[in-house]
Amino acid sequence: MVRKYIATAGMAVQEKTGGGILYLLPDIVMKVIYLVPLMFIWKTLTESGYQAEMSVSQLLSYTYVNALLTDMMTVNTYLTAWNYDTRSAEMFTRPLPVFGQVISRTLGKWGPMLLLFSLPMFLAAPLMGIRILPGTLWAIPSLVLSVSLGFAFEFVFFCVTIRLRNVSWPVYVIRKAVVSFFSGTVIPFQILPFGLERWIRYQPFGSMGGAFLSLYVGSAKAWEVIPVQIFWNLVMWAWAVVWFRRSRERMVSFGG
Amino acid sequence: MDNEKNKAVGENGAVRNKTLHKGRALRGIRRYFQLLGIYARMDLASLMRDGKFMAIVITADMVSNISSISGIFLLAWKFGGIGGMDKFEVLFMLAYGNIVMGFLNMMGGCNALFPSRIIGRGQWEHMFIMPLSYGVQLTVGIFPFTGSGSFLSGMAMLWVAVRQMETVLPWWWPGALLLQLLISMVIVAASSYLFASLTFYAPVQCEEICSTVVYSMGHAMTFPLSGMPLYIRYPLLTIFPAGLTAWFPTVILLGKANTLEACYPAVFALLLSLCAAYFFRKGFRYYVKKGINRYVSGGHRS
Repeated sequence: MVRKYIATAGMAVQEKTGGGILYLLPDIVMKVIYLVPLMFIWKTLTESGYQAEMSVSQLLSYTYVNALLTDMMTVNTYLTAWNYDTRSAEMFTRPLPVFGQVISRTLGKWGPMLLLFSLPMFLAAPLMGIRILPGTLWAIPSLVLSVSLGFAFEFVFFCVTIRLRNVSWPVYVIRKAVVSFFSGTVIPFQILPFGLERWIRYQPFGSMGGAFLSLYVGSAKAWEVIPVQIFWNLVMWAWAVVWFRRSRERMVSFGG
Repeated sequence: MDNEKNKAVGENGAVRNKTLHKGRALRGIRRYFQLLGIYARMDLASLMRDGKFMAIVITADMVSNISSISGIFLLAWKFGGIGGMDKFEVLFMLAYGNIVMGFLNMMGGCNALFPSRIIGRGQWEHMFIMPLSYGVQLTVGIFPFTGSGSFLSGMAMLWVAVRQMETVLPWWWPGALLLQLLISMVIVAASSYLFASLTFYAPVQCEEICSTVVYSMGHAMTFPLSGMPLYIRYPLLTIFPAGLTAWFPTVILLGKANTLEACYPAVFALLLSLCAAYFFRKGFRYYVKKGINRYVSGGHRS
C-alpha cells in the first residue's frame, strides 16, 4: 500500500522535473525575491531604533524559515484547479483513496524544491548570520499539525468550489489572500498593531504556518500553540471529511 | 506632357492611398473600441445573469487586494513609517501598485498579461485564424464591471493617502501620475512577455511562468525600498524591476528624485520592451518551426 503512495508521489516529482531541473530555476529566483526584501525590512526597522515585540534575530529566522518551507506553511495542492481540467475526476478512477492521492501527490510536488532550494539554504543560513536551528523540539510536531491543518483546509475549500459550481479561481484567490494574512506567515502576529495579536492567533488559520514559526523562533510557548493546533485539526478534519462525502457527488469536471 | 500626366496620376494615387490608409486606420480604431464595448457588455451581462457568482468574484478581488497590502501597511502604522517613508507615503505606494496591477488585470481578460498560458496551452495557433492583429486580440478583453475591484480600491486608497499627506502637489502632478502609471504598466507587461518567450521552447514547464513573474512582481512591489542597502535596491530596479512599479514612481511623484532619476523608469521601460519584443519574436520563430503537441486525440491537454 505504501509503495502505491510512493509511486504517486514519484509521479508528482516527475511532473515537476520532467522538463529538466533548469525549469525550476524561476521558482527558486522568485522565492529569493520574496525572501530578501522582507528580511531587509526587519533590519531597516530595527536599525531605525523601533522597539518590536520580537528581536531582529527572531524576525530574520521567522522570515527565512518561512521562505524555506513556504509550500508547507500554506498548503496548496492544486485540488481546486484539478476540478476544471478533469484531474479531480480521474482521482476516483484510481485504486487509492482520494485523500491519500492528494496528500502523496502534494508531498511529491514539494520534494524537488525542498532538495534544491530549502536544503542548500538551510545549510547556508549560518553564513548569513541567521539562527536556523529551532528554539524547541516541539516545533516538529507543530509542523506536522500545521501541514495537516493545511490539507484539511484544502479539502474544505475544494468543497466550497464544488458547492459554488466550480468557481475555482475566485475561491483560490480568496483563500490565498485570507490565508497569507491570517496564517501569520508573512507578518508575525506578535508585531501587529491595535492588539490584534491577542485574538488573531486563536482563529483556525493562525494554527497553520504562523504557529509553527512562532515556536521555531522561540517567540511562543509550546503549551500555547500545540493544544490550539490539535483542536483546529480535529474540527477542520471532521468538517473536511464529512463535507467532502456530502459534496463529491455534486462534482462537475470537464477537460480543457 | 506624359511626364506631367504621370506625375499628376502618381500624386493622385499617393493622395488616394494616403486617404485609404487613413480611412483604414480610423476604421481599425473604431473597430477596436467596438470590440472593447462588446467585451464590456458581455462582462455586464455576466454580472446581471448571476449576481451571486459575480459578488463572489468581486469580493475575491477586493479581499485579495486588501490582504496583499495590509501586512506592510499595518507595519508602517505600528512603526509610524518604514525606512524614511511615513505611513501615508507607504499607503500611497501600496495604492499606486494596486492601480498598476488592477488596471492590467482589468484589461487582461484574454490572458494578455499571461501570454505563457496562451502559448503553453497551444492556443496561440487559435489566434492565427482570427481576422484581427495579435495586439487587438490580446487587449480587447476588458472586464470593467467584474474585474475592476482592485483598480477601484487602489484609486480609493490613493485618494485617502493624498488627502492625508502633508506634501503640496503642483498643478502638473496628475499628468505625472498618469505617465508614471503608464510606464509602470509597460514594465510589468514587458517583463511578462520577456519571460513568456521561454514558453515557446518548453510549453508545459513554462505555462505558468508569467503568473510567477507577475505575481512575484505584485508581491515585491509592496516593499518600501527606502532605507534598504544599495545592493538590494539596485537589483530590484534593474534585474527584477519590481521597485520600478511602485516604490520608485512614488519617490518621483513625491518630489524626492532629481530630473535624471525621474527619467530612468521611462528609459528602462523602453529598453525592456525592445528586449521583450526581440526575444518574443525569436521564440515565436522557433515555435512556428517546431509547433506544439499538447492535445491528445481525446481533446484533453497532456
